[in-house]
Amino acid sequence: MPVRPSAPRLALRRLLTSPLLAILLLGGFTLALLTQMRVDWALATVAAASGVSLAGST
Amino acid sequence: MGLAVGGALSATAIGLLAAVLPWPRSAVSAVIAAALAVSLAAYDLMVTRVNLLQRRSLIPQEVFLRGHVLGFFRFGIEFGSGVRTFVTSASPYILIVMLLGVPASFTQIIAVGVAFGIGRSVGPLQAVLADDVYWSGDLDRTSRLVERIGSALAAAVAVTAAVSMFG
Repeated sequence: MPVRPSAPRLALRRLLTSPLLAILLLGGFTLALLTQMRVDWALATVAAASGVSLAGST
Repeated sequence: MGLAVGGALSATAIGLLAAVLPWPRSAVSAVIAAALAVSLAAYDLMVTRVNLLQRRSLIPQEVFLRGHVLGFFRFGIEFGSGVRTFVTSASPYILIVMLLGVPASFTQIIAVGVAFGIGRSVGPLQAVLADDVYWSGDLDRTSRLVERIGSALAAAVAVTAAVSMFG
């Protein structure tokens, strides 16, 4: 019989597998880079965020 | 792996297109790109469903007939390229506009493509790792917000890139 994960573990798993959290993290990185005017790096992080933004069309 | 290759292939095509453009990428083209980026992001924020130029086709299941490794690789390439899929956010269009308007090296353009492919892999990876029923429900609730955040971020980078040209 499969073991049911504990509530905090389940909550953590749901949080870590959330596309919203993924794009918010990438967005945070991007905005941090923009405040430093590191547009070259921001281009890469925003490209990754753009890929994540299409999670709904998986 | 295939997703990153797919992203890099799309970026190569954009890089080649950028190389043969009849206009030089300069501060003026960066400002035009930023204006287009803001317009696209505003469009994404206003509409309930993004309806921009796209192929609107899904990758057929037959790609897996050649075996799992080759099948997944080909699926990854097509999925990561962003060409054979439904594009539900304006952010990939803003990326293209940016790469055509903002001065960037060919290597940078390829890196952007690889990053896009890696970002594209996050959704399927999360789907595999997550409780499938919960993940689908969560995605249903948040997908439009995620799509809009992607567009707003891309527009912010385009505007900053244009501003940095005058700094």
